Amino acid sequence: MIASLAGRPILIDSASRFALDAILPAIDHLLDPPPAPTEGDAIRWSIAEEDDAWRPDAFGPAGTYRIGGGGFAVVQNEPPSVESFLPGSGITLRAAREAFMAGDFRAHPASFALAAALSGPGRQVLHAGAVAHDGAAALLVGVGGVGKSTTALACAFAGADFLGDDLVLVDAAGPDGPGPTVHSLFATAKLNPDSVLALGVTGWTPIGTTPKNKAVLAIRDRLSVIRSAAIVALVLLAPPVTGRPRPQPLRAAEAMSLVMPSSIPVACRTGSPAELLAVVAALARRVPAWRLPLSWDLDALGTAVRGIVTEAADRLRRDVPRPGPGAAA
Amino acid sequence: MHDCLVANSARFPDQTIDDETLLFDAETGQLLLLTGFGSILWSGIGAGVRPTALCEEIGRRFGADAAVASGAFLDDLVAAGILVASQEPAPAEAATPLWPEQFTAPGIERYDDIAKIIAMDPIHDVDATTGWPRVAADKT
Repeated sequence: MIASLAGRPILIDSASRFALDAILPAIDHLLDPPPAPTEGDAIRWSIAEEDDAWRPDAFGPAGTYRIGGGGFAVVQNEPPSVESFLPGSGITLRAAREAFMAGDFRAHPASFALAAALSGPGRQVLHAGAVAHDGAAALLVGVGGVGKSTTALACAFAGADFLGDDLVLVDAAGPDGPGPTVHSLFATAKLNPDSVLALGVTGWTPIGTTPKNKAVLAIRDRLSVIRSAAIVALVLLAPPVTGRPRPQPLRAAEAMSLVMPSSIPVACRTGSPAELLAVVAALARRVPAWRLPLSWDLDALGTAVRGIVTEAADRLRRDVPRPGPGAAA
Repeated sequence: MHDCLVANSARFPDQTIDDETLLFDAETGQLLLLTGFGSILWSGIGAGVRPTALCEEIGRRFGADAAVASGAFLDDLVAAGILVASQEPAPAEAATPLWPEQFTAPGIERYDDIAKIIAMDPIHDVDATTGWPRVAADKT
C-alpha cells in the first residue's frame, strides 16, 4: 500500500492481510487520493505479524530505547509488540495478533515510530486533536483525559472536518512560509463510555477497546475527515464548567507553556525537545490562543470552537496582533 | 558576581515570545517560565551584556532594590546551571535591552508535572558496543 502524509509517501509492506486490515481504519484516509508529487524521501513501513507465542523478550524490558544512528524503539509486552524507526531504514512494526486486535494499537498504530519518522526542524507530532471549518483549523490541546476526543467529535457533529483526536503532525512553517499547517495522522477517536452516550454514537461498532475502557471508533465512514488544514487557533481545553463554555484569550507564552507539557513525552521519545520548543513557539507567535472550559452541552461546545475558528481566521486575515503580556485572561 | 555569563543552551533550549521566556530542562523535563524582569535580564545576558553592567543599569533606572533583586535572580540562574560562566570576552558594544517603564521582580515559574511522567518511563540507551537490542548494563 502507498499512503502519503504531509507530502511524503509512506510505503507500507506486510505479508499479513490481518495486520493490514487491523491498521487500515486508522490510516485509510491517507491512502487516497493517490500521493501527489513528493516533498521528501519515502518512508518505508514494514509490518510483521508474529505468532501467538512470540514475545519481544530479546529486545529488553518494556520501554523506550535510543538506538545508534538516531533511531529509537518502543517495546511493549502487554500485548506484545515492538515498533522502531531507523533513519535510512524506516519503520518496523512487529506484533502478535493479540496486539493487532488491541484498541490502543488500532487507534494509533506505530504512532511513536511515525512521529520519529515525520518530525524534524519545523515539524513535530503534537499531543493534540484538530478540527477545521472551511480549511481553517483549531488545534485542541490538553492533558490526557481532559476531553480532546469528545470536543473533536462534538465539533465534527457541528459541521467541522476531523483531523485527529489525540496526535497530529504540525508544520510550523517559517515566517516566510505558508503559515502553520496541521496534518491528520489517524482517523480514529477514543471515547469514554459517558462521551459515547453524550455524543449519541452508541450505535457505532468500536474497532477496539483500550485498557482504560475507551471505545475506539473509526471516524471516516461517519464524518468528514480531511488530511491537512491551515492552523488559525490554539484551543487549550480546561476542566468542565456548568453552563455555556466561554473562551478566554491567552498570552502567547501562556499558550506555549500549556501546549508544551502534553507534547513533551512524545518529543522526548521521538525527537528533540529543542525542536519541539521551536515549533510550539513558532505556532504561538503566529496563531492566537484561547482557553476553553469544557461543557457537556456539546452543541454549545461545537459552537464555541466554530466561533473561535471564525474569529481567529478573521483576525489573521486582518493581521490583528494577539493580546500581549498583562492582557486580561 | 561572574564577569561574563552565557546561557547553557545545550541543556536549556529557550524561546522568547512577547517579552516572556520559556526554557525546557532537557535533563529533568521541567519547563521554566521567566517572569517579571526575568526575560529582560535573559535577553541582556543573551546579547552579551555583563551581569554587573546590567544590574548597575537597572539600579540607575529603577533603584537599588531592583538592582539587588536582579543580581539575586542571575545568581539563582547560575546556581541552577541555566547560566554558566564564559571565558569569552563580552562584545565591545553589547546591545542593551529595551527597558519597560516599571520594574517587576524577576522570577521563575517551574512546571514539573511532565518531569514526573518522564521519570516514570525513562528512555534507555542501548549498549554502545553491542548495540540494539542490548540495553546498556548501567542504564537498566
